[in-house]
Amino acid sequence: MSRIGVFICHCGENIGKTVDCAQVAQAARMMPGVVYATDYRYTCSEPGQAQIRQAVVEHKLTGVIVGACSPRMHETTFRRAVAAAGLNPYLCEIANLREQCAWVHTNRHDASAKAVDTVRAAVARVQRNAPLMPIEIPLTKRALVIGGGIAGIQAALDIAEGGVQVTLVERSNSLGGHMAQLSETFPTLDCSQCILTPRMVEAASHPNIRLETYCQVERVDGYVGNFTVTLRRKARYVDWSKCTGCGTCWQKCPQKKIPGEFDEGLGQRTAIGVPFPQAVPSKPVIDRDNCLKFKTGKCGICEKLCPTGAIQFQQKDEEFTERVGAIVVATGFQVLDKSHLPLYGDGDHPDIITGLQFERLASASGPTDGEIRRPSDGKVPRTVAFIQCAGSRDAAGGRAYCSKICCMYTAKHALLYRHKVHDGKAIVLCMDVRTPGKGYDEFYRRAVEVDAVRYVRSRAARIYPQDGQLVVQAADTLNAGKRMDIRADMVVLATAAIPQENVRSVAQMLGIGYDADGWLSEAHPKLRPMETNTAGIYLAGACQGPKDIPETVAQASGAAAKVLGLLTRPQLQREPIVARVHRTSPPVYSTCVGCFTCAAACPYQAIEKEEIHDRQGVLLKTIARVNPGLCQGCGTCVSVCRSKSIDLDGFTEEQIFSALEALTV
Amino acid sequence: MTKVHLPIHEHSNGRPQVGLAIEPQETGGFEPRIIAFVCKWCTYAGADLAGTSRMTYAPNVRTIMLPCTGRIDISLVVRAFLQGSDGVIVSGCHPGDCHYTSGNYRARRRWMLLRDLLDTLGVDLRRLDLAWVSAAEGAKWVKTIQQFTDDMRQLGPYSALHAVAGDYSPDLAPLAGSDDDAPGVEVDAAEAGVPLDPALAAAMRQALEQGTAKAILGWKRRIVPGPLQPTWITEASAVGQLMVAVHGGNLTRLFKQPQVRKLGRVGLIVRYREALALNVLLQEKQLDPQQTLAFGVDGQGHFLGVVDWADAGFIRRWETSTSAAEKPSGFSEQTWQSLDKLMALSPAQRWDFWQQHFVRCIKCYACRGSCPMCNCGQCFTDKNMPQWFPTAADGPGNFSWHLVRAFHLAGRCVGCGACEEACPAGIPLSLLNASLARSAWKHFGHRAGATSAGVPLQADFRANDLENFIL
Ligand SMILES: Cc1cc2nc3c(=O)[nH]c(=O)nc-3n(C[C@H](O)[C@H](O)[C@H](O)COP(=O)(O)OP(=O)(O)OC[C@H]3O[C@@H](n4cnc5c(N)ncnc54)[C@H](O)[C@@H]3O)c2cc1C
Ligand code: SF4
Ligand code: SF4
Repeated sequence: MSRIGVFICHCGENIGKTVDCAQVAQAARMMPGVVYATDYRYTCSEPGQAQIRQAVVEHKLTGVIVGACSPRMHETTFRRAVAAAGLNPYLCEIANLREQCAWVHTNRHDASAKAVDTVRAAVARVQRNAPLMPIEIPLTKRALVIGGGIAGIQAALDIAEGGVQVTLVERSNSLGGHMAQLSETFPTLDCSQCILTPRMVEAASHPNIRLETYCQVERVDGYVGNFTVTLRRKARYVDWSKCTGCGTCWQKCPQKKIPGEFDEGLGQRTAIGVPFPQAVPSKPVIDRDNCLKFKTGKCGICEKLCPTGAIQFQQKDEEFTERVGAIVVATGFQVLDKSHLPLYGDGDHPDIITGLQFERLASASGPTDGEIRRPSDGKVPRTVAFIQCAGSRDAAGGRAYCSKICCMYTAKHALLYRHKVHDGKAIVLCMDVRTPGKGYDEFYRRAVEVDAVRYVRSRAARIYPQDGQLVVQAADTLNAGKRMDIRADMVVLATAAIPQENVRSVAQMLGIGYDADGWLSEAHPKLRPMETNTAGIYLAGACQGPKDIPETVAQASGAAAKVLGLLTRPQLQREPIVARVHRTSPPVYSTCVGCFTCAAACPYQAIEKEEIHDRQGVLLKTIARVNPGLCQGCGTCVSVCRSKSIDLDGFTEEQIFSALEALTV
Repeated sequence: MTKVHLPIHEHSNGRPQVGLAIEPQETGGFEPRIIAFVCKWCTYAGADLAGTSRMTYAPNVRTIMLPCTGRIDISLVVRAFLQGSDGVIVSGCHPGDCHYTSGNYRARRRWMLLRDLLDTLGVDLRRLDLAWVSAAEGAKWVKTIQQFTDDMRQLGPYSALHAVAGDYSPDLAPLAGSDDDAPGVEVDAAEAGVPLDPALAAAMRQALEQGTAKAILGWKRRIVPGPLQPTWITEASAVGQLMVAVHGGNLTRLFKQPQVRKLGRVGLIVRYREALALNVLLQEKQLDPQQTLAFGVDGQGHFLGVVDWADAGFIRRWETSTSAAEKPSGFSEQTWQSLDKLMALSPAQRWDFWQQHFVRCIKCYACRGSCPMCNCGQCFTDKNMPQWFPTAADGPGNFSWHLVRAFHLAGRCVGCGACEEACPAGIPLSLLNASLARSAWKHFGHRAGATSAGVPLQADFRANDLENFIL
């Protein structure tokens, strides 16, 4: 027999002004199953909650309805109160009398009538509620960080410092990401390598970090607390256990003229080697596509000269699996290739370079040892034009967003140029300058005021070569779009930051979302910026949107805190709103016919096969089973099941049908 | 404080109700009862926002919150109508916003199919409102409710549908216009059959002798005159008894019988309709291709060879004309014509047409028994915890049975017409099936039985599925 208690809250005047709370309580008393009903000024206050707790005990209540504000406000509060009195919290339901009744209706009679209906539906529903227990899921106390840029390094270090084991996976041959390519960093102009390299070394040598470079994530199975990750270690053709990183091989390799990716094509590299001198780990790999031994079968010089015999041309890719409880995605970004900007020197003029190329020119360890020389003829450019928003804030070009970092790094570039070429002219063409951030505007002012960088508010329409120089044809946006031609020896484009090319497949593999531009989606833009919609997977750094280093690091530390918060619990507790396949006694076992329409419809791959065997082990039936660790409780499976063999706890057909009946009959 | 009178209130539908009555206050006229099914993350939050922003709207709507539009089963909508709602609103997150990433995409597909089915049944589509409302769109929620309530006030009570639940007259109503123009399919008693093609007979004997099949399903003559009877044989010597039926339902329905499932590897005569059905059964994992040996025959009974399951294109052997690929599955030309005729009528006429048919339904479930795809261990209509739909052969019982039976076959019915042949009351069930098959084909390019691969229609979605019917 149901013994339901109903508590109608006035919410001060908020509900009471429009809804006749006393009358609603009076009506509730007459509803079948209700043994107690009352109204109170502030039910969520301590005396209000005490009233509920007392009534639960005194009237031996089997269910509680609180007619109050939206369940999105205080459901947890009231469920806790009910639990404190010894009743299962899921036997408490909220009737929304404020946001969807008192506040939206003016007529007291109508609002009261609606309130009574809402309470009646809740009373009918709660009689079908089952006591539910939070689901406990075991945890694997190890984390995976994908991407070894500054975001991944920071996240891995913080997690490791927190005492949890981490596997840090980087697909290239060194940690560092884009930050390793930078010369100096705004706004303090400290050398990027100087602040980054120690972090790289720390990450590589931390006892709690297992570093896997030249390695990729192939598959992710499982769910929060219990992921199984399949990784592929790419063939390096060098046995790293033997290699000492002496460098003999890359000094002697005859293939010396391969454009170096790390130098953005401005320098050259060999077929065997490390991407840059400070690389971590500092052990080489062979680039199969450019190696003479692989291409022609001849050569093998490195093999002959290696003092430890570490070269292994027969090495193969290796797959292995790792069990982790949480994943941080830190796969970063890339910059738009200038070939996408055909109006700027047909997209391939050597003296029109990207900001990242400029970083390499300005870098003391770069291809020009830090001297600013233009790529075509190696001359020092006397005038350099810097063009901001190359590809960003251009809805017609497909990128309406602001790349955020370019205003600051362009100011940095212009300033560095002026420091290096004292009589040089630096002209920045910009739509406007955006420098919010601690010390950022000061930095920009310094470029303008101290280092005499000229800023011109304009839109560069076209760049073409003329007489060994480049002409930037621009529209002066402060002067009615008047045409203005600027002659320069070199042009630096602040090309847009864009998502990693493989971001979509990574997102699909992980089951996380991305936006129309391809940036990975956070669970909530304000309140959950480092979580994704898939429990146990977090975001760090520029994979979620353009970011500078301080922001990247902040988000990475945040993600690490989330991971630690998750993995340092003894086990996981989940809301028990999960689907369940009906089971009955033998010989039927279940009305499920194993069509697996539900499995195909489930957005979380939460439905598995279950085989029912008899005592002799003979297969009797294959039916569906919900994995409560994966199920997120959407109920999509319920709607597609024809035999009505699957139902959603907390929103069962019985509960909904009774509520509906109470509203319509 | 004014006391509100709290009587046991008599409603127009005659059922007693405890509580306050909604008495006409603003318009002095009819006040519709509206049920809204909304998702928790977007619409419910949007409705809360309308409250926090102190917007106001008509008090007629009663909201039921579910986690996701994915959870909003069509049974909820149908029940709401049958239980006396004048209008139903279904609302959730915009495409792309689903808290569960894609529950709403699947819901959208379902709504499309449901709308087309309701339209065929003559249900007034204006009574069903579908709207995307985000958590930020309090104003849209208000507008949706206000507009819909006003529309329902205009339309008045949905008496036509409620009458099904109310004054249900068990008298057999006469069928409208028994002239040739009336939609409906002539069903032929299907006595006809042809003897086995010698090549087919030889193949079957060989299969039984070599043990590649433990039994073979086919048809045989009855002892008394009448249609051919489905049967199975286990001995090579019995092959001579088998025949190929010309109509005769769908042989694959025999797989529903536990005795047949226990036979081990079974051979069967496969005409176009069986081939389509086999594909659906394979897709839904109801058959093991290793355990099934299919002897293909064409329309004249000529042996086409043993069907190779690995060859996804085998179905085309029956589809000689290109037109087969342009129409969904195996429905007869006559069925399409009848459907066109039916759809040319007004919704009210369609409603009457079906009511006159449904009133004849005696709930013998012969339709279900004859359908190879009606293979649920326990049919929804036989479930009683909770009771899904009324089981009696009365207005609500028959309406919901026919609606849900057809809906459960959406994207699965292969148009063999077995149900219609089986129906003793002559209800043109194929028309409902065909209407959904057309919907699946037109909107989603889905043909039941075209392949055994892929995802079932209702479990699948495309991000760009049609949605011009959603606000
Ligand atoms: C020209 C330029 C100048 C800049 N100057 C400054 C500056 O002065 N100051 C400042 O604060 N910021 C600056 N920035 C911004 C800075 O580069 C970024 O904030 C920072 O690099 C973001 O770090 P990240 O780790 O998120 O991404 P990234 O640096 O892009 O690192 C991502 C890493 O993940 C790896 N990866 C990608 N996909 C996979 C995968 N599937 N599996 C495994 N590994 C993967 C990549 O190889 C890479 O190592 C500049 C940016 C540019 C373009
Ligand atoms: S949809 Fe229903 S019958 Fe089919 S497998 Fe899932 S639970 Fe079983
Ligand atoms: S409720 Fe949703 S998440 Fe859970 S099993 Fe069903 S479809 Fe999958």
